[in-house]
Amino acid sequence: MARLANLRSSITRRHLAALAAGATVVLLVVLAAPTPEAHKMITSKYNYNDHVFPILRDRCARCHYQGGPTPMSLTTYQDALPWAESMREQLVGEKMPPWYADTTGPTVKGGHMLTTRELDIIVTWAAGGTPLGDLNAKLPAVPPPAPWKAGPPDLQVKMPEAHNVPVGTQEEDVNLTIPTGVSEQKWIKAVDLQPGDTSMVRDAVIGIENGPVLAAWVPGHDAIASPSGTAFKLPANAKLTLKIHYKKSWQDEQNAKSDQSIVGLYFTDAPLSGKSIESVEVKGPDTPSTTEAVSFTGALKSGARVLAVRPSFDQAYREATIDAVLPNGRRATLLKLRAPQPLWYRRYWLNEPIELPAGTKLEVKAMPAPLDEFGPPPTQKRYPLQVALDYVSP
Amino acid sequence: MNLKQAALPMVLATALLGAQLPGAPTHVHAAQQDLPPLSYVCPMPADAEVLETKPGRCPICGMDLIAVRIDSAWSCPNHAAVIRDQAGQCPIDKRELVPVVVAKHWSCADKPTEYLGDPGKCADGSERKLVTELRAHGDHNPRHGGSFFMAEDKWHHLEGTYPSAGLFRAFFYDNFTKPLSPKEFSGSVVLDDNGKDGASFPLTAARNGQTLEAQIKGLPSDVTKDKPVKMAAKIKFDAKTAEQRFDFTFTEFSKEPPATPAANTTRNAAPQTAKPATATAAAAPVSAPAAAPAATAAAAAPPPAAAPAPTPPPTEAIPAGLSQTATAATMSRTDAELLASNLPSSAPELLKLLEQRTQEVHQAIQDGQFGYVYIPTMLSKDIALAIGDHVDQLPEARRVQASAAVRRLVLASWELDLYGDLGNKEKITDAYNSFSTAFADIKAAYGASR
Repeated sequence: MARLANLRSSITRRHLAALAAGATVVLLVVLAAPTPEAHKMITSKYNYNDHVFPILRDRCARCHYQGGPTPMSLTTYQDALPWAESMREQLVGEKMPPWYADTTGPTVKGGHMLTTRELDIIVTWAAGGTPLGDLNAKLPAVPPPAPWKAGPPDLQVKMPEAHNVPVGTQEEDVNLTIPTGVSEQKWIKAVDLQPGDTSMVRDAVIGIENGPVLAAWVPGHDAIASPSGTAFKLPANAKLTLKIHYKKSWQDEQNAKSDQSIVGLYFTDAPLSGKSIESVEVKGPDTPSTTEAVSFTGALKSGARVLAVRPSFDQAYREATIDAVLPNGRRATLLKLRAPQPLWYRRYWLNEPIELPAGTKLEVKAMPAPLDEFGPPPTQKRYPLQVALDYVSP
Repeated sequence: MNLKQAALPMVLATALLGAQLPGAPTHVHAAQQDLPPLSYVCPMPADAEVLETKPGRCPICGMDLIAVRIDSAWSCPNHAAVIRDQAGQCPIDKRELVPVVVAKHWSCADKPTEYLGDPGKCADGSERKLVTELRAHGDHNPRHGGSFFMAEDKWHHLEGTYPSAGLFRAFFYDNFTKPLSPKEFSGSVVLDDNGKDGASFPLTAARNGQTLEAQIKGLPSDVTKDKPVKMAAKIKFDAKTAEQRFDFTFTEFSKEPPATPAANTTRNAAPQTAKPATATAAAAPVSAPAAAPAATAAAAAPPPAAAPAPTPPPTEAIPAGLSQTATAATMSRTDAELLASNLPSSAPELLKLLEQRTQEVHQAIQDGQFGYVYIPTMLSKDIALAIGDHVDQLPEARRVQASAAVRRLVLASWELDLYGDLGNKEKITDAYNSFSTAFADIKAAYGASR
């Protein structure tokens, strides 16, 4: 995969120049010339202003905006240019956007993928001289996304006090237990998080103390509601658990930063069944990074109507499949993933919940991604290799 | 010592050399004595081979040269926007930083696009802001008529030649195609034995100390297209990184290109290279004299004193017209791009065209023309994207699989495009397997009766 910014890339038969202003003219001249075939100053037929910017704005700017949760904005040419080759590497390696549901598997709710053509446009631009386009064009500023995308939550639970990440500390995990202050039982259909400092809240796992995981939150999170008639039970006077992963931008390493995030809860009516969404986890082997295929299994002790799947990965994988093998031998795929990464742990809500009887065996197969010469990055192993199912009992 | 670190003084030395060229202006004031010397470069980063010692116009684009100070720095291997002054860990993914060459300038908030060669005060009294940008390099032209590949660290480059029967010679370069001494490198040459590794021969320093060589026993006295010689060089660049493999296929003996007369453009020694003249020749790891000076100012680059001369014009004629039946061995990039812009409009015709291109990719890989692979692969992905536009014509049950296959082919094409530059047969083969599987799935989806 490609790696370095185009400024230093040596894939340079297509990077030979970035003559933005003269690109079109040069291309025409070169194309018109019969022989010899002179090198192309710019080989990308796509430029930032006309082709790349609209894609980045629509597909990537929920995170990659100025002041956003990512270390880089991509919403201006100046911002995007140094990251062009990284974009190519991330896109070709299918690491970004961080949505790994394979379209050939069961469909899931939400998602923010690039179309294949959009992907090709960005990679072509990144590999082909990163032309700007019209030098005089003024692109509109891309505003940060509005807070609480699903609308104002029914209850906002704020961290009791701000957490400081001091100078010199770049990354930190914080585990909190926060009273909700709700004295009666409630039912939760969706959960979101509003970071106090967007630039360093990298991800968060929100749960009910001694209860289910409510949300695996990552920047750009959509607070997708649980299927109609299902909800998480929030007992009276319950406490929330909040595990926040702070990671400062590389430019903020020597700055002290402070965060006081807010958990937003969206309530719904009590399900007719009176049953809460529960979770069951199937743990994978805890082994060092490998390049060999990994498989592990688990069994459902009771019947379950599976609503969502929460896979977490200990390293980068090329692909993963989570199958249910019913007692009668019938096999049903719950989720297929392409290029799942150890970061970006999230829940995939199934478009069509699936009923599994007791005794159903879960089979997880994952094929690791090939390592590059640098090996696995030291930051990779944040989560265990496991698959959690969110279900309601029949 | 880490070899990457070892290369740094050379970069600095070349930058400093530039300041000592006759006629170089004395811009070094007392306050800037610690700064690298002023250089003048083209505004567009990819025109990095232009490095002048005085103001003027960019000989490539005609724009005014800008003043910068060339320096060395450290950057993340996978996040090149991160530039640090010292070695250490990447703050994003904790990988070890790699050495890079940067251009420094200063700017003021009121004129952010103006390049100022010195620190100091802006008009409003504020301090000028230091801007550090990576310098482009961009020359994969073989210098000795061999095949040119890039190591995975993007810093080291390797040219393998086969000048005579049984002799493999490896030349090493940095990321500015400046020759590197191989004295801290080690490795071996492994002969291809029907696709597997055969006999191994150690690479040892040549008498002049500038190359590594292997004397390979048992090879025929001649080499031809029909009877190529295949081998892999396994190189260890330093103690920390793994041995890297570079696969070579020689179809004739490598010939040293003749020297080219110097021209009158003044250059420093750092980005000291001529641009490749033809994409095909520049990219293809052919063992004949490969690249010609472009018909641009780049051709005027004089051979630096310490470096070999630029390569002469290609001996192969470039096909002038559009040929849909062009083969991997003859299709030029312009042919491929013209074909891509004149694609047929029906799915069956596109599928037929894609099948031809897929065969060309396969053939190029079989022939060991790794640097050439990108031409049919780039064309293939354009054809596949066009086929993807016909997905609505398929039965609904087949559409998801068909679209996913097109995506996989596009991704695999971009992988092949990169791995071709690395010259690593294993990676190329992996990517090709993905490519061919994706093609088979596209064919199954679109080729089956509706």
